[in-house]
Amino acid sequence: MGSMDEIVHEFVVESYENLDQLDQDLVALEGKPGSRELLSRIFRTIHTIKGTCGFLAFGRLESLAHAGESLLSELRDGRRVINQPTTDVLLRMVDTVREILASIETCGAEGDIGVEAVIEQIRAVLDDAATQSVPEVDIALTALGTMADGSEPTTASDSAIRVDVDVLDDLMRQVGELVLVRNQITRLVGGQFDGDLVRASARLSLVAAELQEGVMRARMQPIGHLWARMPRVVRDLAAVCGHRVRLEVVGGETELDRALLEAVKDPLVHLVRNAVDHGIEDAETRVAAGKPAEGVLTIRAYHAGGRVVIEVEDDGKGIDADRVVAVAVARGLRTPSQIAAMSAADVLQLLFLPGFSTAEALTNVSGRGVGLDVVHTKTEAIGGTVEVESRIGHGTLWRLRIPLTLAIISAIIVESAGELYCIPAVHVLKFIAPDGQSAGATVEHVGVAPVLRLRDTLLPLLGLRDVLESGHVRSPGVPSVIAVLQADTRCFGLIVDRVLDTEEIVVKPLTARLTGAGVYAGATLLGDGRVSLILDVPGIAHRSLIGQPMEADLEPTAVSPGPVGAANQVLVVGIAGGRRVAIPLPAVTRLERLSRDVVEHVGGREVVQYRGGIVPLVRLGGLLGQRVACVGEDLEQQGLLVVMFTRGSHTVAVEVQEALDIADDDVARHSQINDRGVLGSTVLGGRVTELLDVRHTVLTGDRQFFDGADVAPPDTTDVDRAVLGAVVGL
Amino acid sequence: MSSQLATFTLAGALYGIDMLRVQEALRGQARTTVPLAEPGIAGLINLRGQVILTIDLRSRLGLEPLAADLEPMMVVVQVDGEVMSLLVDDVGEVVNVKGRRLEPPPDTLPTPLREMILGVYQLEGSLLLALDIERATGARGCFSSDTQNFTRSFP
Repeated sequence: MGSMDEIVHEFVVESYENLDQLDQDLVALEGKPGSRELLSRIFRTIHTIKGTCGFLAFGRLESLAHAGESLLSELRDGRRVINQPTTDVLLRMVDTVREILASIETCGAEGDIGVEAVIEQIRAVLDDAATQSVPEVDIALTALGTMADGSEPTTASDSAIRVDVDVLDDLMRQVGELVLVRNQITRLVGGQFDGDLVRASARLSLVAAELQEGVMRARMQPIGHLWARMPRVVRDLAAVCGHRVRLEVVGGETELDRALLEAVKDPLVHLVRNAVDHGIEDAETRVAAGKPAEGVLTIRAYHAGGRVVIEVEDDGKGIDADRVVAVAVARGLRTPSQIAAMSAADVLQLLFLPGFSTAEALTNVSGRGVGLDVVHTKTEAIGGTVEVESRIGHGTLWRLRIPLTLAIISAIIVESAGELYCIPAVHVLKFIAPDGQSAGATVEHVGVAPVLRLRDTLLPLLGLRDVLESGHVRSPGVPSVIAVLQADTRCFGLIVDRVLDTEEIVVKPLTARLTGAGVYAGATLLGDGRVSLILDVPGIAHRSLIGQPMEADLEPTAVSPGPVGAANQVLVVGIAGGRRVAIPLPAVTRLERLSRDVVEHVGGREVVQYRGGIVPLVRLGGLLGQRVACVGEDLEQQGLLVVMFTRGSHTVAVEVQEALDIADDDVARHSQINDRGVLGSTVLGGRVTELLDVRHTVLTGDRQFFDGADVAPPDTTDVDRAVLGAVVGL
Repeated sequence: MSSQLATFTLAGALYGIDMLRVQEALRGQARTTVPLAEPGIAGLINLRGQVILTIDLRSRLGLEPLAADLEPMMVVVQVDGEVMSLLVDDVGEVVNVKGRRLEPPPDTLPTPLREMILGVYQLEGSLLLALDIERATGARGCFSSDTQNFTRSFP
């Protein structure tokens, strides 16, 4: 029975691959209706599927493939020409075949997926033969053309075998180990004078390096695999949007580690959909602008600087930088003064900020919950970068830069408190020795917070010793080296004791218990066999940069007064870890103290019953990345303090530890550190207080909070000030 | 649990874990400390190219740290599919407890220790404490920096 399962599994895998090719071929066929080469290939694929399912007794699939084959054989023999309805019905057949394959894969049987309707449609197209007859001459011509083309392309299957990915991963791991042993031996041999030993070690070194490269190459796949489905995606989407789009792909043979290929798939599909939906205009607009009616979408891949570059380019309307600015300001992501200091390229990078995605830009096509910020995060998660260039009226270019492999990364080894750490090179902008008077960099202190003044920008400065809480016991004086790091869209300086080396390191996964802290991305083994931790740069930025005591006047661009009526009342609350958070008072509907018993779980999320309804509960401490503290007995008895936000029929409860104060907030004093959930920070009553991103917080609890008919924002008169005062007075 | 227990000592007491869990015993491995890790995590070691978490059993069981001049040994075990190493004072013999009765841990044991003991076997001249390896290593998410919290979740 086991061998039977194996045959079925192989059949499914092989068929999937063939179907991806089929999608591509069918769409290509529309452009080259006479291509016998394409037609033969399509016919062969369906024929193979049909044959195999006959053998494996998948009756429905067989009858479906049979119907498709009849239609294809007419096309192949030149008895009919391909047109849109024919392509549509064939694509529908391919989709149904996929559904059945998925069912076979999961439960081993065809399931009850209906094939009759599709077969019926194919019959209908077949019966339509009268109108489809083709003059004999054409057949002769196409036949001639085929002969001139020469033989059909040789398939790779003759010289290739299928290897389980696990086997490759295992090989990769072992090679990594071999490389480490090699390093160790090379070091041991270093002091020897035995000629044979030195020669043997050198040979080992060479063989290990070649083996490593060979195994890495075995894991590589051409990126063409990834965009085999793109023609279909573009075609379907263009049809939905009513746009005319021609897809051009360049460099499909560019190779990439298969793990990365998988990781880059979603971002790429998103960018392509985005380009078809928002980038390329409809035909009339294009013609009016003097452009061809058909838009061109180009996907390009190539190697550059030891990385793979993937570009998605359209010749559409381009991105209006002014609108980007307007949205960023309206959403409170950046202040006008910050934007004034930005370069044009930086402005477009704002698109990748979480929370940027505009509601009006969301359509059912590309707004599938995957915003550009997700493209950004996913790309960064694999050590890649994404950038955008655009010219209004001429088009937009999205560029992903991806490392060749995940398993081996380039890293810089630094020392802090006697331990060695690896910083992935992709995050390192430069190193600065502050005492060495390097290019206009000085360390200053504003309040207690050290900042790095680098030419005309101020960067927050963190000590790795502080981040890791490993104490300040180092020789007095200035920090030895500052690594200027970039994570997400922000830069910061990290003080380390010493910089040792750049090395290609083999990344070893780390147990979730250690990555949970958000400081380590993994571990590696150094040349001497010691374990070294790889720092998670975005994690450190996230963890340490919010709530850093920085005052508004330290940012040279922020001194201009804020909008009119800058002083707003805010409710100051405390969360775990002694942090203080300010919430704009007009946004608050009510403060309530609830018994802890009312917290219940719905589908893994916390809710409370409130005034006869069920209200989602957001733990502010958890949201802002504070580790959840153990609830003491006294707090247990006091119950749960929640801030209620209500809009129309939507209510969200936000749990806080304590309500501290109502204060006047001066917008001009805001500093510009921001993060998910926090818009910045300010000083209220002598204490650093973070400014809550109410929109983000509320959306965490209820995604539909701002949907539906526009309800006036909660009026301050709705605020039950008596209750508020009473609770604050507690 | 098989009847074969691999034993080791911690602060003078004899502990045992299921022999089938034990992969090997080591000495003299260079350990890399992990700042910010929860207490009880004693760092990472390189076990033939694999990066392995080390658990300080003394700390987990609420015992005093080992004297600085003594070097602990390591017992490499498999817990919940993960390989980790346990810091112990010394490695003992394999003891067959077939036919012996597992008695509940005495009430006099201090709390963190008591929670991590399955029971006690009486041997000739000594007691053998059978360790609950999942709890002792903090597998299955019952690892917490807060001992109070820990005991609360296992009343």
